Amino acid sequence: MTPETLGAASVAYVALMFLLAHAADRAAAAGRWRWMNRPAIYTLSLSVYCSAWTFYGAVGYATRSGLEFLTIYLGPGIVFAGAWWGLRRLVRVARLHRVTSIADLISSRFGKSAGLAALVTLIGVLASTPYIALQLQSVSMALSAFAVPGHPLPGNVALWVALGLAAFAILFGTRHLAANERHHGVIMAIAVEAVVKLAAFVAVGAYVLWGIADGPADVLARIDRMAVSAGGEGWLIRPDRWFALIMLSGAAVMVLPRMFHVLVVEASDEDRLRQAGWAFPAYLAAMSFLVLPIAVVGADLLPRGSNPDLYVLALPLSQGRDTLAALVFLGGFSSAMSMVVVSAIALSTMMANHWLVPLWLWLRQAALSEPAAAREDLGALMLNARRLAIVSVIGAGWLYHRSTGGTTALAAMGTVAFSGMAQVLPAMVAGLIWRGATRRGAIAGILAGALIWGRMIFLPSLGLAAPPAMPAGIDPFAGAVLLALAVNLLLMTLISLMDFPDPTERLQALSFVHAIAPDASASEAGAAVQAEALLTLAGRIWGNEHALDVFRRAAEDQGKSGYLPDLTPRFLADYERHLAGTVGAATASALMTRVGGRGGVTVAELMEVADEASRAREDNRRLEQTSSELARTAAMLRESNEKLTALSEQKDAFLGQISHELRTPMTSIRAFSEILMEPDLPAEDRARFAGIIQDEAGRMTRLLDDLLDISVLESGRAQLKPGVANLHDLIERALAAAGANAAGRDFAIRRNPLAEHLPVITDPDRLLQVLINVIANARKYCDATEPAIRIDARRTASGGTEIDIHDNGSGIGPEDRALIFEKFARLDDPSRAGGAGLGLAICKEIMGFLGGSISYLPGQGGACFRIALPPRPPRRAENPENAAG
Amino acid sequence: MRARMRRLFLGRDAYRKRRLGDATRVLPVLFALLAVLPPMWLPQYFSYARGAVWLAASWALTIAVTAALHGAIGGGGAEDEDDA
Repeated sequence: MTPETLGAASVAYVALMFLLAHAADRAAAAGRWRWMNRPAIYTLSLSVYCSAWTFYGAVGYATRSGLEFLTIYLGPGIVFAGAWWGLRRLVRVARLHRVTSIADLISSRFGKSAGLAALVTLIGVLASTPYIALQLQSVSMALSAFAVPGHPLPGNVALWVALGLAAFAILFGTRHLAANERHHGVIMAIAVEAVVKLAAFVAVGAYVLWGIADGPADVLARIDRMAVSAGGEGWLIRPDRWFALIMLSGAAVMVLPRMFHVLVVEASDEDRLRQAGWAFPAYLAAMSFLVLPIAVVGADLLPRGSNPDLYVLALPLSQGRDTLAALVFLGGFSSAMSMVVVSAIALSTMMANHWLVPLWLWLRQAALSEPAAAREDLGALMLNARRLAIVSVIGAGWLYHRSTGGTTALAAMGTVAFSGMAQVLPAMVAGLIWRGATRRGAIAGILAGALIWGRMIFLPSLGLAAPPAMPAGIDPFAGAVLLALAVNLLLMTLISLMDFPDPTERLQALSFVHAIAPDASASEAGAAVQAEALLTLAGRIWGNEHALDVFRRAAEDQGKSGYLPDLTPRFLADYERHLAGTVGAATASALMTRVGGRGGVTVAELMEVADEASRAREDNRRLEQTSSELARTAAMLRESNEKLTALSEQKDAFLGQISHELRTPMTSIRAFSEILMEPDLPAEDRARFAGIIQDEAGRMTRLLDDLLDISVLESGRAQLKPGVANLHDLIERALAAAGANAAGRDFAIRRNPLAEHLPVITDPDRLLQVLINVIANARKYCDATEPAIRIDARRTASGGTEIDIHDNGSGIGPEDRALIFEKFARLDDPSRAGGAGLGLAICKEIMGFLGGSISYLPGQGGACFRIALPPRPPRRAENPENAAG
Repeated sequence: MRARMRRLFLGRDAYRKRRLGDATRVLPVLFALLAVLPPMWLPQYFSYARGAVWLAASWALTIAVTAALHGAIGGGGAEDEDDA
C-alpha cells in the first residue's frame, strides 16, 4: 500500500461523500427528508466530536499519560447522562430563538449584543485554529506512515487536504441561505463517516485485542505492567489535570462551534435527545476503551522511538495487515474530514453573521428597504461572506500547522482548543439558569478568561510566549485552565450582581431562563414600518420565493389574502426571529431597527408587560384559542367588507360608465353617418368619416366582446381546449401582439430565453390572452423614464409553471391592490386605459379557469404580476352547470 | 406571554414521568462523582488496570440506566397533561 494509492483512495472517498451529500440535499429539497431526519442520524452526526484527535491522538495520549486520555470522553459522558434535562433545555431554548451558532446564543441571551457575538466568534476562531491544524497534521502524518523509507512524501499534503476540505465545505455548507441553519447533505455525509470511523476503529481494536494480545485479561495485565515499566510514571493520574480535563471536555461537547452546530442547530426537535442521551456515550465508550489495547500493545511491540500517535496504523502495518491499515487510514481521514467540514461551516456562519455582515451594514448607511435596492441580492453577499470565512478558517489552520512545524503531539493541540472555547461556558450556563446574569458581566467574564487563556495557553502553544510559571506541584495547563475559568466566573457573577440590564436584555433573560416563547407584545411597530419594506428586505436575504411564502402564510394566519400581513407585534416578533435564523439575533435586531424604524423597549413598557402578563396569563391561556379564531374571522370580514364597499361604489359608477362607454362611440357613429348622408361630400372626407365610424364600431365590439367573454367565463360555460405549447413562443407572440397596440414608447424587454423554453399543458389561446393583457398593461401604466419589462419564467417544485411580469414603474398603491382584479375597476383616469377596466378581471377569470392564479407581488420595486399555472389544467365536468365556480 | 402554569397535582402516569425526569437529573451527578472522585483521591490505586475496569463498569452502568430511563420517559411532550 503506497501513499499514492491511499491518496487516490481518499480522493475517491471524498467523491463518494460528495455524491452522498448531493443526493441527500436533493432529496431534502424535494421534501423527502423524513428518512434522514431520524434520531439515529442525529446521534451519528454527534460523533463529529471524535475527530482525528480521537483516532490517532488518543492512542498517543494513552501511551504517554495513561488513563488521562479517558477524561476527554468522560466529560461528554457525564453531560449526556443529563441530556434529558440539561441538553434538552439548551436545544429547546435555541430552537425557540432560532439560534444559528454558539455566538448567536450568547449574544441573543444577553440583549442581542453584537459586540458579544463578535467576541465569542473571535474566541471560536482562535481556538479552532489549532484544532483544524491537528486534523491536517494527522492526515499527512498518517500518510507518512505508509511511505517507503528514502521516498519522503511531497511536503504539501496538508495544503491539498485543506483545499479539498474547503471545497467540500463551500459546496455543501453555503449552497443556499437557509432560514434555519440546517444542512441535510453534510449531516448525512457525517453520519456515514461516523459509521466508517467506528468500523475502522473497532476492526483495528478487535484485531489488536484478540489477534495480537490474548483478550481483555491480557491487556489489563499489560496495563498493570506499565506501572513498573520505564515510561510508566506518566500513567499516574494527576488529580488537578484529571479534574480540569473532565470539566473541559464536558464543556467542549456543548460549546465547541462544531458540536454546538450538530447538537443544537441541526436538531429538528428535542425528543431525539432521548436516544442520543445513551447512544452517543455508548459510541464514545466503544471508541475510547479500544484505545487502551492499541496503546499498551503498541508500547510493548513497536520499537522505542516510534511515534505513539501512529500506533493505530503502525501496529497492523508491523504485522503485515496492509488492508486493515488502509481501512484505518480511511477511518482517520473520515474523522479529520468531518471535523474540518463541520467546523468550517459553523465558524463561517459565525464570522459572516457576526463580523462581516455587521461591518457591511455599518459601511452602508443607505436605507435597506428602498425599492430601488430590491435587486441587490443580500443573500448572495452573505453566502460569499461565508465562503470567504471558510477559506480563511481552514487557511488559518494550515498556517498554524506550518508554523508549529507539524511535530506537536496531537492531544496537546486539542486541549488548547478545548480550554479556549470553555471560556464561553460560564456565560452560557448562567444565561440559561440565572435571570440576573447580564451582558456586561458576560463580556467581562469571557474577556478576562480569554485573555488569561491567550497568554497562558494559546501563545505558549505557538511558541510565542513562555509557559506560565505555576507553584510547584500544580500542573501548568490545569492551573491555567482553572485560573481562567475561576476569574471568568467570578467577574461575570460580581458584575452581573451590580448591574442593571436594559429592557431587551431582561426580556431575553426571561425567555431563556424559563424556556418560554420570546415576548411578542413589548416592542411596538414604529409608525414608519410598512409590511412592504419588510418584505423587500426579506426577499433580499432569502430570495423572493421564500420571502413571499413566509409573508403569504403569515397573512393567511391573520385571515387575510395576498402577501402583506398586518404588522401585529406577534408578526413582527416572528419575523425578527425568522431573520435571526439566518443572520443571527444581533444583526436581525439591527436590521429591524434600520428598516422598521422600531425603537427600543423602555423600562416602563417592560414593567407594564410583566404586570399585565402575570395577571392575564391564566385567562390568556383559555382565551387565546378563541380570540385568535375571532381575530382571523374579523380580519377576513374586514377585508371582504372593504372590498364590498369599494365594489358597490364602483358598480354604481360602472353603470354610468358603461353607458358612457357605449354612448361615446355611438354618438360619433351617429354624427358621422349623418354627415355621410350629405350628397356633395368630397371623396376623401367620405373615406375618413367611414374610417372613424369603423374605428368606433370596433371599439364597441371590443367592449362587448370583453363583457361577453367575462360572462362566459364566470358562468363556467367556457370551453377548455387543452394543448401543449412552448412558453417561449407564447411570450414571443404576446410581446408582438401587445407591442403592436402600444403607443410609440421605447421599452426595454429583459428576458431569459433559456429559462422560458418550458412546455406547458394548458389552453394556449387563453394563456396567450392573459400574457397579452398583462404585458399591455405594463406598457400602458409603467411610468418610469426608462421603462423596462422583465419576464421570468420557472418551473416550481410541484411541477407547475410561474411567470413573473415585472415593470420598473411606481407600481400599484397598497390601497388599490385589492381592487385591480375586480371587474370594472380602473385605477386612474379612463383615457389612458382605453378600456372599461375589464382586462385584469378577465385574466383572473381565465387563470381560475385554467386552474392557476394571477396575483400581484408587492415589494418588488415596481408592478409585478405572477401568473401561476398548475402542471396540467383541471378536468372539467361535462355538465357546464357543475363546472361553474 | 405564552407561558403556561404547571399543574400542581398530576395523575399517576404523569407523576411517574416527572419522577423519572428527576432521576435523569441525579444520574449525571452520580456518574460525575464516580468518575472524578476516586481517581483524584487514590491516584495510585486507580491509575492502571483497576482504574480502567472501574471507569468502564461505572460508565457502562450509567449508559444502561440512561437508556432505561429515557425509554421509560417515552415520546410525546405532553408531560403536563393530567391523565387521571
